[in-house]
Amino acid sequence: MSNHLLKQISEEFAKGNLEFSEVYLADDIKWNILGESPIIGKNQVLEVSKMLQLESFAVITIKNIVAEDECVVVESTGEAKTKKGKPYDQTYCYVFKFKGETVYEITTYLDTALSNEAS
Amino acid sequence: MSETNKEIVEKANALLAESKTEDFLLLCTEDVEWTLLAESPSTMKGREAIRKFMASSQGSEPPDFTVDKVIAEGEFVVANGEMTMKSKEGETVPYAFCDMYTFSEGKIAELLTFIHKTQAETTKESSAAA
Repeated sequence: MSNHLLKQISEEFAKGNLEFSEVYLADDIKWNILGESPIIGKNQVLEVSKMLQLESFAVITIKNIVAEDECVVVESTGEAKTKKGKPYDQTYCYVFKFKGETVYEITTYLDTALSNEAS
Repeated sequence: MSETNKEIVEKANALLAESKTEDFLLLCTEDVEWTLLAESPSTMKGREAIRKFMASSQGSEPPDFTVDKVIAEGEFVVANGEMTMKSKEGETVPYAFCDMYTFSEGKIAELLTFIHKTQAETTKESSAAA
């Protein structure tokens, strides 16, 4: 199993490129987003990952990718606007947990003071 | 190298848990930058800013950490997990946290901390299941 592939899957998910990442997500994947109830199941995860609560998908900049064993961490920033037109410049940290090449859990940390304000 | 940085993070957390601010600061660069994304986000620049911040939270019980994962590669170490802190009313409040450390020449140069209460989610989750 290549560490490079796990990093790529994680990076593309964080960028919102689900076309690439989708096949690697477990059917019963769990996505924990800080400040929200966990999202269970691949279809639900795909839906939430579209960032439909924002005016458009955020412009994502990947800052760091750190991997060890079957864990990958992606630090990124996102520039977007809320539906009300307010700036929504977010800081994200994703922790991906893999079994082989399959992602079974994602935890997203973000600035919840900002996400609460935007929701 | 990564192993050493991991050890420094473990040491740093132990020192913070014991409120040993000065010893913690010695593990950081002079111009260390700590961004805290919590209820009221803030960024502390330099040892003196961290010293002031730690002094302002002096007196409250240090948090109790349960680390889930520590992931290290090159100059980066990430630790995430859960912690509890005592509120002013003496209640134990659970939080989820994630610390992202960036090292420079063997010292902590940047620290990005995400922290959020988890209690509200537990309530939501159980009501969703019902």
